[in-house]
Amino acid sequence: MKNYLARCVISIGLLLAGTSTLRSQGSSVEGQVKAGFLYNFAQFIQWPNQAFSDREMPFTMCVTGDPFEGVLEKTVERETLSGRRIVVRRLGPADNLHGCHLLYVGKLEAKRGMEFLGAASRVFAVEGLPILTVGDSEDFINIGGMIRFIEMGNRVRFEINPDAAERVSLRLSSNLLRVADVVRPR
Amino acid sequence: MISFRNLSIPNKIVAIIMIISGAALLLTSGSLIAYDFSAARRDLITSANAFAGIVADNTTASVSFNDTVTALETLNSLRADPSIIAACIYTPDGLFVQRVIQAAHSCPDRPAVNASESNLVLVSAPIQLKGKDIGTVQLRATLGPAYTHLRLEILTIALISFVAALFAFVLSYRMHKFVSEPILNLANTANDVSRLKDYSIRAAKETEDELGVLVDAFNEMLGQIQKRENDLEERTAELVQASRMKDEFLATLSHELRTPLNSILGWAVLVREGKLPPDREASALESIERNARMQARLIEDLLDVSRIISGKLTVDSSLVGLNQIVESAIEVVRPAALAKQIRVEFKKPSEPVRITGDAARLQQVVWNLLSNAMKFTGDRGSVAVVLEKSGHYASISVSDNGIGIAPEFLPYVFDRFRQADGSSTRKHGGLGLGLAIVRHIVEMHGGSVGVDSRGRGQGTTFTIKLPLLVAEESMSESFKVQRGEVTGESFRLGQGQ
Repeated sequence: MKNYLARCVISIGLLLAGTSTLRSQGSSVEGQVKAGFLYNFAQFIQWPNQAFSDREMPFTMCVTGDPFEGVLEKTVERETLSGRRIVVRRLGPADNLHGCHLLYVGKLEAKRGMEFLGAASRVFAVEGLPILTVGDSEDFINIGGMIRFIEMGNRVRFEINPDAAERVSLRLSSNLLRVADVVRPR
Repeated sequence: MISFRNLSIPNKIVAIIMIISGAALLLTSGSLIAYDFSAARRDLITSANAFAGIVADNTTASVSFNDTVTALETLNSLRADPSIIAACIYTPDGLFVQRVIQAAHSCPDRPAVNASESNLVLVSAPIQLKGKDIGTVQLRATLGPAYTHLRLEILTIALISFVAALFAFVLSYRMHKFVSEPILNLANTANDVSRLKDYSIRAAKETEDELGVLVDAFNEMLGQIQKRENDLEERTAELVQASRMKDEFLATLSHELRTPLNSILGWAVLVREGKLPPDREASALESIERNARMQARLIEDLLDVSRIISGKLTVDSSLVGLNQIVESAIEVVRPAALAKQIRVEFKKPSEPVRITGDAARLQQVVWNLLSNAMKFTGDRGSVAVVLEKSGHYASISVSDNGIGIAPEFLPYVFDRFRQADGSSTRKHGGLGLGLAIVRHIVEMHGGSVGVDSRGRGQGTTFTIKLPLLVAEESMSESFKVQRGEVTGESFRLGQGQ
């Protein structure tokens, strides 16, 4: 009875939130949700001070395998993080990750993904600058990624590997962990 | 309607205690309930606000990531508090998630502004992310559980009040006897006193409080009434006695005046008719004279008593030789002594005994004592008179071996109209005034008179003491004083001391 009631409440909530129809509205809706989530991750995660060279340095989101088609730029263009502007950088094949705070790796083959993650960990190893890595591919966590989007039916959820984030001095809010599926790589 | 004034004291006490304890109980419990009532709403608002704040903090990520499942989990943690009947989370788009206990209180599409019912409390808390409002938590809390609690409290207080009232009633009903019982006892005592006319009854004092004071006052009043009553009885007895003595005296007087008159009349008739032989005529006239003198003597005594009572009896003050006075008194009674063959002895000192006083009155005193002795001494008896000086006094004692005086009558022999009893009056005659006159005259001379008898048939001795010669001034002073005293006393008849 209670379960039934809870399910009713959930479905009403979802209905009213108006975020339930990902499939029917195509990939741009999925892109919007993921773009919002990327911005939200940045709000629930604290970067160490040395990640920014000065007060004016913008928060930089580096994107590869872009699924957003310009939605991400729109989402963050008026937003700030602790007073910093947010910029979106599209990575070409030869670009390095220097100056990135967040790296989104789209649905690439595992080999390419591993290259990006390796580059991100090199940035931390050389410059001590942590980069939050977010990806779509199924084994993203297993190859060393921190957050992976999951599409469950018509909803977008995400997995977090807190150990990987903490290894590079990123501090995750407990609130964020509460809404995420916390996983450890096998 | 029963007036409070007309209640009995026990009921008054019970009523007062009940009213006071009831008012105290009502006031305390009333203010307690009123305080709890206002505190209940305040406490509910405080706790609901705290819950709303916690929910807002914990649902930041859920709202940010559009995660209703975790938001609902957070809301479910509110089930610990039964007063929260609805919890709603709103985003700018509208209702995000809700948890409703009672269907009637389901969340509206937009955040409500006011609680719909008076016993509901509506609190809101903003869900903030980095200082930006991203949603709102609204909780609806009901005062229901608090009211249930209050109702239970009122019921408990009512129950306690009832038990307390019962307790106060029983207790005061048992304690009222401390007040009412002494009062009722006092009333019973008063009733007994007026019913039995016994003023010696006293109320028992049981307490030292105001009732004790009342009992004391009541007993004091009874004491005074009793004293008054006793005085009255005494006075009445005195008056009755005096009246009786006057009656007796009147009878005696009539008799005593009549007796010599009979003799006088009898002899007078015989003499007037001239039927007596000449030798008897002389003795008849003598008898008439003697009886006339006796009557004159009686009347003289009466007049003296009258003078004593009115304070008009006076005594001269001159130098008097007691030897001569006693001798002439003996001479007066000698014929009577001869007639009864009574021997009269007179023992006197060699030198004369002198005092200041009234010769005639002093002779009357001695004569009175002597004739008394003659009267109560049988034939061939003896009477002894002794004159002597003892200290500052001259003493004259007259002793006989006659019938004597019963010890119980001794204290009264000097009272007016007193004689040992009716029968002796008849046998011995006289008015019973002589000794009263003796005492008065002796006291006017500053002396005293005493009587001694060893009982009936043992004879009697009267002794007078008179002060020996003293200065003239103090003598007259003494007279005045004596007269004054005796005058004051003489209005009282009978045995007054």
